[in-house]
Amino acid sequence: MTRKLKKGMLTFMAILSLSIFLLASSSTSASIGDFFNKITGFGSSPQSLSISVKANTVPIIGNITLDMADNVVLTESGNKSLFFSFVATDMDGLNDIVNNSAVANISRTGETTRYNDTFVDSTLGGCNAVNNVGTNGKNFSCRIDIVFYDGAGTWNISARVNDTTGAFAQNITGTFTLNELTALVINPGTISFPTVGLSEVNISARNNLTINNTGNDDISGREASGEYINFTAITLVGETSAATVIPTNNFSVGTNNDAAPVPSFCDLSRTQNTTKLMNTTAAASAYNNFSAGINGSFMLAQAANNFEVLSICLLDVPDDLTGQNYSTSKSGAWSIIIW
Amino acid sequence: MVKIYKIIFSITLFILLSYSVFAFGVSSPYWDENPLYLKPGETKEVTMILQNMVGEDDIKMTGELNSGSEIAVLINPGIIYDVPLGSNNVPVNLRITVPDDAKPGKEWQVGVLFKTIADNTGGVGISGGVSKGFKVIVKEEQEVSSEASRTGGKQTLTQFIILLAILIVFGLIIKYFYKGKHNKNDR
Repeated sequence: MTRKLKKGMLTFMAILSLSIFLLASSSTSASIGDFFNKITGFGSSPQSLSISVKANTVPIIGNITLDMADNVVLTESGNKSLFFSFVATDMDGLNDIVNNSAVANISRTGETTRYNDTFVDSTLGGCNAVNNVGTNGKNFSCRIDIVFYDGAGTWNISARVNDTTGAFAQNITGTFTLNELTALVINPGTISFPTVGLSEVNISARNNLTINNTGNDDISGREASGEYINFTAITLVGETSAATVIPTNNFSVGTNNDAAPVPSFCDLSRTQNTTKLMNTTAAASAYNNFSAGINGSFMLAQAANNFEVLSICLLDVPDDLTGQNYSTSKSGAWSIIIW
Repeated sequence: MVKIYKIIFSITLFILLSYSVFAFGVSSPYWDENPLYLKPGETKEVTMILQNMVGEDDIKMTGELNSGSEIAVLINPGIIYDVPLGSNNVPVNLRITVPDDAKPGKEWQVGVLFKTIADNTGGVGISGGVSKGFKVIVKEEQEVSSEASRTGGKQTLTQFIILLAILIVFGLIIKYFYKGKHNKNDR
């Protein structure tokens, strides 16, 4: 090999090495300058060097995994258990992770935080170590109860665990979505009136209608531009002879229930809380119906006072009625609809 | 006297013994504050869930679309849903299809009216219901994927330039050697 050829080979090797270096550096986020700084130590902040005989390694919590389908569906008027798990790893070995230190909570802005945290309440039990993962990891399973009125939307999950030295790891990146549940309990399913005479006025139904909000949907009322209780009433028809009827105009519904001098739910001057069931169908129709929101009604999704009581009044008994039972069996049931 | 003999009527008293409490719930993965975003031409099935956990009897419910019929259909229209006491998982499926030519930002309100069927055999029967609705909004192609494709394009271009540079350098080296060999032969 001649000297020129050797020189050429050297040049070739140099160019090839440079090309490979450039290619490699272009596929990373660091620049050549960074590489140079790393080698020389230039450009880096001052470093302190400490030497210890045995350093504790802080545990790490990996991803939080839901052990159930996301878009969690609440249970009306009850609790729903949320199940999730995570793996905690400690390079000092899995025995360094303290089993009963694993705790968790779920939170959302504006909502009550729900815990399974023995540091908050020792009776809760915390998360359970269910199996080992390799020589350094443990899988923990957690359960937190969600209450039926907990708000719909995205919730955050936070999990925490200690090692034997008290160093703790926390993961706050877990999330899940709680669906909206609109749920009601209506009591009773039928209402009745006492026996009445012609031309009597202001007769109260034997029983009020109590509506409980057993979901997480705020029924804030028409006045608050929110969801509201829509009441539909249909003419009562004689059960023996359908020739005579009691139109809905003769009824009112109220959300207040004080007696004197006239029951408030019969007093049409109290427009904020009393609604006359004025018919909304054509005047010529025998079976007049009413369908609209009830004044002053609301029931928020919450632990207490999550109900509305509707009192119904027969304002006056038409003079043309015949002696028989009048009911909705021939015309159609009244309805309470969350709109 | 006239008053005494005035006809007396009653509004069913005999059903007093049959008062019952009824309960129901409807759960939805989308609601007013949590709209469904779909791309033009995309179809999605949405499942609402009926419950009857705290009543006293089994209930039957009807469901009908009360808004959004341009894009939504109930998969089993006209069906009566049996919701036994203690159940919390009766599904109601809704299929939503956004037209191919829908513009991003276009909105529809989709709603389903659920009603219990009342035992309307006397007195004033009461039924319950819920109108469950949400918005469907047309979205653009995902920002993330378009960003990713832009970044991907940049990377491909860089790699191509580097490869081209290497090839040119390689070509020059070959040419250099070839020239060197020629010179040697000439001598």
